[in-house]
Amino acid sequence: MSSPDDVSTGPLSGEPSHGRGGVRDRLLEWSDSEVFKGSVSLGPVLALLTVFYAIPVALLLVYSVFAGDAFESPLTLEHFARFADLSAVLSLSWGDLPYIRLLARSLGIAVVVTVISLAISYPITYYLGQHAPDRWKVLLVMLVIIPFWTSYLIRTYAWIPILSSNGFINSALGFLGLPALPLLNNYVGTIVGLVYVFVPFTILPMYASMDGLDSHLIEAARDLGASRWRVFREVIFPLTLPGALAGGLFVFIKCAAAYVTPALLGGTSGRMFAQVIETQFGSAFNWNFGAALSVILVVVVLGSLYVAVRLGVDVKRGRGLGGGGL
Amino acid sequence: MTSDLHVENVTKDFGDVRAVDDVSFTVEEGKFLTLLGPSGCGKTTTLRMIAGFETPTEGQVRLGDRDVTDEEPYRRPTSMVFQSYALFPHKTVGENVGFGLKMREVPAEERAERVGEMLELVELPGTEDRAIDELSGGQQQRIALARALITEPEVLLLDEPLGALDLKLRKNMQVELKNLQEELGITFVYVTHDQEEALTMSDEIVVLNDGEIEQRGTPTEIYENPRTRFVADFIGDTNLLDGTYVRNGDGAAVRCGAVELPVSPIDSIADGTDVSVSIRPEKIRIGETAGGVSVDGEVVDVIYQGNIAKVHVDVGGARLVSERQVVDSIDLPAAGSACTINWDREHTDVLTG
Amino acid sequence: MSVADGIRDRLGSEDGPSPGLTAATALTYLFLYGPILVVVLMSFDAGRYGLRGELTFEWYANMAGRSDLIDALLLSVQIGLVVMVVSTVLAVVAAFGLARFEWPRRKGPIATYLVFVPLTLPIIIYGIGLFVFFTELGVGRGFVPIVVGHVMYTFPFATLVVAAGVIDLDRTLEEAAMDLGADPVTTFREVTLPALAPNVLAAALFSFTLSFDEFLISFFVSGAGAIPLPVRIWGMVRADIEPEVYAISVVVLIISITIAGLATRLRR
Repeated sequence: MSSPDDVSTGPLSGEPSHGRGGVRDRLLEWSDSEVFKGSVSLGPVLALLTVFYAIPVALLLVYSVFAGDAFESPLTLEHFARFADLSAVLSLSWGDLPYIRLLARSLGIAVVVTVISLAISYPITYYLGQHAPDRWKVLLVMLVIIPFWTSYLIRTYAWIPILSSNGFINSALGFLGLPALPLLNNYVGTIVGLVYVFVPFTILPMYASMDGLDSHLIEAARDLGASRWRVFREVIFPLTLPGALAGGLFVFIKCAAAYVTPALLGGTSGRMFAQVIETQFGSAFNWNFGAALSVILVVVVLGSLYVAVRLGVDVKRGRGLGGGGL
Repeated sequence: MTSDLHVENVTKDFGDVRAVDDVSFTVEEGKFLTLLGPSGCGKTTTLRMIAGFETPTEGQVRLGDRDVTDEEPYRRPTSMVFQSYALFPHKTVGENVGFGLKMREVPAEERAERVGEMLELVELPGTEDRAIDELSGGQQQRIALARALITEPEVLLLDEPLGALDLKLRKNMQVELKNLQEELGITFVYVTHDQEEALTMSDEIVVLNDGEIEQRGTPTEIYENPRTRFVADFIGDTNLLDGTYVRNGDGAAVRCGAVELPVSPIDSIADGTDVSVSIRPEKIRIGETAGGVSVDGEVVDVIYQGNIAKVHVDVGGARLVSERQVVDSIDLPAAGSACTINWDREHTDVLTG
Repeated sequence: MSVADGIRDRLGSEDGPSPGLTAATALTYLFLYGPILVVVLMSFDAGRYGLRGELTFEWYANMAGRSDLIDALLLSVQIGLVVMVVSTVLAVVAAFGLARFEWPRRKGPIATYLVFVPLTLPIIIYGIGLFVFFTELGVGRGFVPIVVGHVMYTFPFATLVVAAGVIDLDRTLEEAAMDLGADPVTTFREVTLPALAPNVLAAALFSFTLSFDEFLISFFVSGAGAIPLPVRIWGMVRADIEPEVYAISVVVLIISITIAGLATRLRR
């Protein structure tokens, strides 16, 4: 607080009272402003995230271009060349390209899982959105969400006693006099496990679309003579497509990086790309190559997202519903 | 010391948009003033500046001698009733009503007593422990009122408080609110877009449009003597005709196409100025010729609405509507019949704005 | 299509779901819950290498006697509680920053950076990155790296849950409180926080359960002294399934289903 005297001495002492007051006023005003509150609330969080999230991930990018220890060994692209099996490609003796083929197979599995997840999601979400009795609806939707938030590790290994050679399914087949099927430790196990773990990613956004679908549209289409199949093709499918695409996209990118499920259920034919990354850190101790493979996986994931967004997929529909530690 | 509320040359900009433009008015202590206008006219912004939720870009808000322009809302002796009621959903009725007293550190015992009295005042005694969502819309409205009144504010601000209620309840509440205001003698500043509500309750009305004051006055002044086209059109139904003001000797008239309507001379308007005239439908009589202004025309349409009927009359290309009480529907003229319409000269309002 | 078909179709839609649709829905629920039931069933079955059909409590008794499992469970709870507190506090701050206050520049990229990227990038990549990061720092593996990893991992979920509450919060409630004489601090304590309580609590519960069940990050940054339960379970099912794992899994499922159920209800 300044008395009138203070003000009058300002100019006499040669100090530009204007400027002093101006700076202080501006500081005070700023500290009360929404921008200040925003900076104070977001700043520290951004800093924490940068230090403990962005830098660790960026460290992998750094490792991927050094021959050995980061910043202490020569820069190199040899790890990426090894991924591409460049020597084999250059000598025109098409090698077996182990890493590229593994990546291709992982993406193939991801596509299959995505398609199956979508196929499973249509009936249940149509039922929940259009036919579920109101008093059960909340509970039924909750029942879909809850497994999503519980240990995917447990939910994955639970398939071992179901799929194994003397497991539930093969016992049932034997009881019926049918031959046993190889379901575990191959790509079947990987696909079944991945569908199981990721199907909520398509169910939840598609449920939102189905729930928001005006049932009068379906009635109107039927009234105009459309069969059930035509109603699905002409009305339900186009109107729920945004939810399906967003959910499918997330299933795809999560599957592309899956580790736990193929490791527990997949055996050799169900082996996926993330497993070879883990090997570099867990047993091969080739961090640089592992980092290069990690970078490639991130590029694939972000690239898929980028392409999907450019193609008009509304990724926000799939966001936030994710849970279950995936 | 009186605590009249003074709003002086208040302007509010939101970025490039001027929401309120140089608005001034005074509310005498204990009066009921309504800020009336369509949505986006700046009435709520004005109210929020009085409450302290917005700071004027220019101008002052004073309560008596106290300049409250920059005072925080929680230090002002004003209370607000929100359109959405803004009752705290996680607190009981009693906690809601007693909130203001708790903030003023009134002891719990006294608080309980005054909450009880307040609930009695709004005719919901004994509801202290009820949850907010157990109450109907009308009851919530009363609780919001009780919560705002318990701190004995110098000015009570009401932002379309009856907007969410159905028509019948709204009409009852209008009367109750007005009675309550007179009983308590607190200054009310009331915001609404409902002209009927404004006419029913107010001591004085300020009509706002596009952030500026169009007219202020008592309900009768606003209705009977609208000064601008906007006011005439916004408040009640009216016949609006465009024409030219003509001065001839001692008399004056407004020429609207083929018809010339005699009016009292107005010195402030120059001969030949473009003006509008407003004639309220209920002022226009059909089939009488005695006194006032008489015009011949033809009935083009009769719209029966139960207690009243609207007779549309074509007069030289312009259409005037006469509204009359229906005592017996047989008395209504038939469409296509010739008729003479007639009204008192002072009911022709000449509008320049 | 014949008229009769049309009428039948229309009648069908009046009747509600077709039997096929209902059956498909029921099968989907069976698919979602079957494996969980299998775990429960196996935990009470005497068969060591497959279903035998005899009831036993042996695996639960064994589990209770295994200090490695109990220690891992307690460690997971401990980590979950720390993560819950830190993550929720950060989420409340960030949610206000994102949903209410201003930022000198556009906020879109910040929301993407804070929430979307961590939700999208593969967890295994983050786990490995964090492992390299703490190794480079000389910290190595253990409690602190796990907590840091789990906070970063749960934070976007918690922020989304709280931010949804902040966005939905009726600002006139806060104005009403101020109007009645509450200063900003009192308003926050008396009105803002209680109104947000369901969301904050849901965010806390989600953070706990996500951390409690998290495996991949822990897998890379947990060490000899600090092995949380999911990593312990991984070791048990990777080698050769020991039936005790079913028993401890049922304990985990009960804890996380209860918490997830509560949180899901609160978030509504």
